[in-house]
Amino acid sequence: MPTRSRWAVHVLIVVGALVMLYPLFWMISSSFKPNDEIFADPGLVPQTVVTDNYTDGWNALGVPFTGFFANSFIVATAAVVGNVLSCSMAAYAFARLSFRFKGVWFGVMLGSIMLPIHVLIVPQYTLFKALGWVDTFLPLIVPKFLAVDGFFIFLMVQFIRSLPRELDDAARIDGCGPIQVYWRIILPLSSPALITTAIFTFIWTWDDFFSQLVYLSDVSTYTVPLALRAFLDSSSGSTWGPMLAMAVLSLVPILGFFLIFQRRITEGISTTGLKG
Amino acid sequence: MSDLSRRGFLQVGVAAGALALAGCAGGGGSGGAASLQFAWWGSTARHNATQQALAAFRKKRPGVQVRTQFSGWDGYWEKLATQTAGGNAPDVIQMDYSYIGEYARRGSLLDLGPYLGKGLDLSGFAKDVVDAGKIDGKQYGVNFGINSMALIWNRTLAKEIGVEVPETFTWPEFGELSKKIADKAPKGVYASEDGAQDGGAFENWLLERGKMFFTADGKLAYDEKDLTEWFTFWDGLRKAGAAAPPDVQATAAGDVQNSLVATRKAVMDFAWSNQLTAYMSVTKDDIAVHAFPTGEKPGQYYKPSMLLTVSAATKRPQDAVALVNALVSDADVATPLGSERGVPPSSAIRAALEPKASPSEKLVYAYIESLSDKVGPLPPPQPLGAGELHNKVLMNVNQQVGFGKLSIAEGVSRFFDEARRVLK
Amino acid sequence: MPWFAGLLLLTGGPILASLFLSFTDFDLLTTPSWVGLDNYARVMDDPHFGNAVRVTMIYVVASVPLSGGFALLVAVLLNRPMRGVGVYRAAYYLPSLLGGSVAVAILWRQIFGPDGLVNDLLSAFGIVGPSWISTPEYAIYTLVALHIWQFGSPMLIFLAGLKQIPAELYDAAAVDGAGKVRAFFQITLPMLSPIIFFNLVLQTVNAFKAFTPAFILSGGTGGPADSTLFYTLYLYQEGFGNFRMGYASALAWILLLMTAAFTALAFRSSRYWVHYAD
Repeated sequence: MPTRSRWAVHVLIVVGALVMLYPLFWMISSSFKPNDEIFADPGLVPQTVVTDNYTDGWNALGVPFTGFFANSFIVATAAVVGNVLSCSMAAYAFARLSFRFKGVWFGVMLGSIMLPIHVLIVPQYTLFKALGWVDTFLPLIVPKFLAVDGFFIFLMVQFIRSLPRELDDAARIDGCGPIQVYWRIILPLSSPALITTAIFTFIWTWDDFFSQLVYLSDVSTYTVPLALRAFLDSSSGSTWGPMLAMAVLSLVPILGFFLIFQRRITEGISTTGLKG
Repeated sequence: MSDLSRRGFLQVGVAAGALALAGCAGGGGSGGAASLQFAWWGSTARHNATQQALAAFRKKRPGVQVRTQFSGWDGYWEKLATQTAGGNAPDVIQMDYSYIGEYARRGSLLDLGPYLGKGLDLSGFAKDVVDAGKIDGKQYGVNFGINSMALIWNRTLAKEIGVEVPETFTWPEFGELSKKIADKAPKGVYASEDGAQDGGAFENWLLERGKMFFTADGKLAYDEKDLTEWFTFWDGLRKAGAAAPPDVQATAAGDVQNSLVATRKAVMDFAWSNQLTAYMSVTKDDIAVHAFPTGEKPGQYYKPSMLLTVSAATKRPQDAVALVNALVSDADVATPLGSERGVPPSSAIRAALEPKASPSEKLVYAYIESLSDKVGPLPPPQPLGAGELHNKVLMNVNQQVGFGKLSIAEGVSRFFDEARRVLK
Repeated sequence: MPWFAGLLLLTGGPILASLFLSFTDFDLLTTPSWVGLDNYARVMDDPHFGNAVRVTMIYVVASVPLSGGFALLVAVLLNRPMRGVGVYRAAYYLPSLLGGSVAVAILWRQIFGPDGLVNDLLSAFGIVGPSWISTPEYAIYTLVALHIWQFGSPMLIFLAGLKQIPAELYDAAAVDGAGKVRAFFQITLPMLSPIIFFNLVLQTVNAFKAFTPAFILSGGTGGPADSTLFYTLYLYQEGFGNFRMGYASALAWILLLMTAAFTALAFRSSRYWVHYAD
């Protein structure tokens, strides 16, 4: 019996996965359809297969997509490095160290996630304008190195707090200072959280439209989401086919990033050391 | 702790700086103070055409650098508002008719009046076409494409149903026609979208009765009775199955591909002539433009599909005006633009470009010309908040009435309550 | 901490600025002018405010527990050694990868539209379904469904949390003769409670300020008849659409207070059910 129920679960997982993948199939199929067929016939099998969407789309904005991918890659990678380093340090401080007004700072950090970007963008823009950073990647990258992302700080605090404190104490008895405890104990042991942070930061930065739109104006600095949205205009004719073709391509890096790094979550740490 | 973090911070700071340099080396600050920033929204065809026009402009004015900033419609206004608030507005701004009053009245745009005849040559424009760029008597904008309200209709669908759409019809005749179509149409297909929520249709209906949206001093120029009659007319059509019911109408939210004409749920949509190309691009059906229902007085007028404006904060007004002028009046620069933004306002450019227009653009040319003896004068400019009232509020109240959450009388009084709240 | 100054400037600055702006009449294009508490008083007679709070609360209450529960279930299923488990994880994460893209909006119309998939299924049983996506009574629940479908982020966080539970605990339980179900309740849930708490708090905060789903599905209107006018969508319309950024900032700070009150409650309750190792 257990094998049969295991099979049932497996079939359920496969069917569910297909349902989840449907939009991907739809995007791929539509990216091979002519523009006027995409909405007229939403089925998965194109009546006429065209590949122009890919060739046209790649150069549709006068600048090849290579540059947009490179820009997105720079921004997303820098954001990953920044978030992983700074948020883990901040989280370690919140979870293990004691300092003045810790509770207040924690509250402020959480509060900063609760305001919608729409009311922050104008003051933020004014600030970055004063720093001369508008039209560069700095407004999108530098904040990540300053641990401004409360989501990830809180996430890592929760992970660090589920590590037994005896580990720290043991290390401290061996003569480790707080930095060494962070570097040798906390960082390796919370690698699932670090990898989760890396995955989310990469994907969310790659998909982020609003702040990239506001801070980047010149087409040579455009990232993939900006380029994709430049295909769509409700007041004139949107070029859906090329947009969907490029959207399919833009999924490749994030899907790849996910596939590579999700393994690390599972393989990550051996748990033997955790017995303390 | 602090030791490590300081070192780490320095390292990553250097890395970030290097990355940012790599990023902005290609564009960004290259022009410095000697460059103009030109912002527009559109899709790929417009982006490419505009880049070509700018290349032609650079040849004529080699001293002027033009940096571009383009996107689709979504996000364009948020970015423009943020840039303006941050004191960093683009020098030349493609502007929508519904926003020009908001920007001009708040002092964000340059009055181009002093440049008329001195760098800005609008001599090829009809008077109304020039005046369409005026707010409170000042020339804040230059028409960048002539436009008018239009019934978009799905000719293929009409043929399948077996109905002819006559040359002209009045609003009551439109009602009869719609009921006739509804009788013949299969289930789930309606003669018309629910026009009650369409500001353009409502304005047309008012103008034909000798009324209008606003008086010259920015007060509402119609009353509860007019709106009640308008809602009642459409309520009748909805109940007769001639106009789309609210739940079907609400599926049309968003872009043109969701519109009832494109999804074959209605034969007719209330729209704008420059949207024809967008409609044709998302369906294989034969799509045509038709004038709105007619009345005692002219209900249609020529409106700019979009305008060119100059930021009040520009450091180089002369160059900005030169760019605006070239885009609308210099054949060498305007020719690459084609008719993609609408029918060109200058008669000379229009004559040069019409033969090169695409099939859908030719239909628009013919439509705009066919209206020439039917259009009335441009109504007075709208007060602040007008766009919100006749787009959002009208649609919302009509939905509340359509779904039976408010009676017509309640809907009308809700609308006028909101008008008091919204208009300045 | 050396980065503190930068942190304060870059996040604290805009946050304080938005608080300041909430006491001003700010139309984005001209200089803000101080109006004291006017914006907060305006909320009292704004007919859309109450509606926006109501719609948002429905969304929070319906979507957070459902998507969290679903995410935990799938995470447990996908935490077992299985061939190609990475591909399955990617497949289940894909809806979240697409985020607020147009493909999602189009797809949701195909499923919940008047002649969508759901109604096709219902018609097999002789039921004529409504147009779910465009009827005020149901439209909000199609957004809840969308949120549940995009459960990838909490799922991944649960997966990471499950990995941190020492395998020895399960071995010991097996020796004691505990079944899988008992092990789940006696080991998995308590050990995972810090992560469950995190997902609860963050999913709720994000649901309170949800914007994109309603924006893409209603074409930015919050319709039909304001039934999907989320709080943040309304605030965005006021700020950018109607040039009332001062009022929008006040709305944002009221949202912050509501969210903070909820979060404080959650932290208060966490003493009784969240188990930390420290």
